Amino acid sequence: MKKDFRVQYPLWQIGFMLIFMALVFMITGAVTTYVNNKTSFSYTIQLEALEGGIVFLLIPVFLIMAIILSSKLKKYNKEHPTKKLSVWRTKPLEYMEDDEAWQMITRVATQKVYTFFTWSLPLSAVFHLLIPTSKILIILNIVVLSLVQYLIFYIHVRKHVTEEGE
Amino acid sequence: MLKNRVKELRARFSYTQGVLGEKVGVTRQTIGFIEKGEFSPSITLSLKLAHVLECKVDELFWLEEEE
Repeated sequence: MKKDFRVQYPLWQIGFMLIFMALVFMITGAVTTYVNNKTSFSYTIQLEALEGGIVFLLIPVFLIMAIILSSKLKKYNKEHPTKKLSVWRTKPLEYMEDDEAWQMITRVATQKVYTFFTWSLPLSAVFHLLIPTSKILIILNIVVLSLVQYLIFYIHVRKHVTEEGE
Repeated sequence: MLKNRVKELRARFSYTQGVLGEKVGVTRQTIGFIEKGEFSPSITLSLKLAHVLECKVDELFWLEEEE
């Protein structure tokens, strides 16, 4: 169960988000010209050697992770032909609803996430309203909230997975 | 607090958690959660467990006052 794709999926999402955050930091920090008006839109970035190296290292890492995740999903679907998962379905992939106990675990985990958003979303809105921030900080704020969401879900499910035993 | 004798009766039939889970249509982990008192099963699942373990539901599950 520990290696169940659905248990590990939030960790993959966290990984993707960390890479995305690093890319956003690097690329927006290297913007030299930015024009956005009624007639034109242009965006120029100039990466230094170190930043450029990191960006060109992160992109293949991102792609390799996507390939590994895709193969893991394929393997899971092969092992569970009656409970196939798809990234295109509306229901999150991390939901575990094999039976009533797992439905309860998933429900409690999602309740914890809901409680987190009940507080974090208004606080974030107030923060961006009162303190002048950039667009990039708003994007990073959303990514961090999403990252914490997956972390809360993972910690709750993982607790039950590790407690199992014959 | 809900107490149970699932582990004891399961041992009487020499069923593993996996076998018992299969007989009542739940995962092995769920049988473990029930035995440890971490999960209170539904009436349907309690009835199925009692049927498989050949006992009455109130012999399998009972309430105990919390201290």
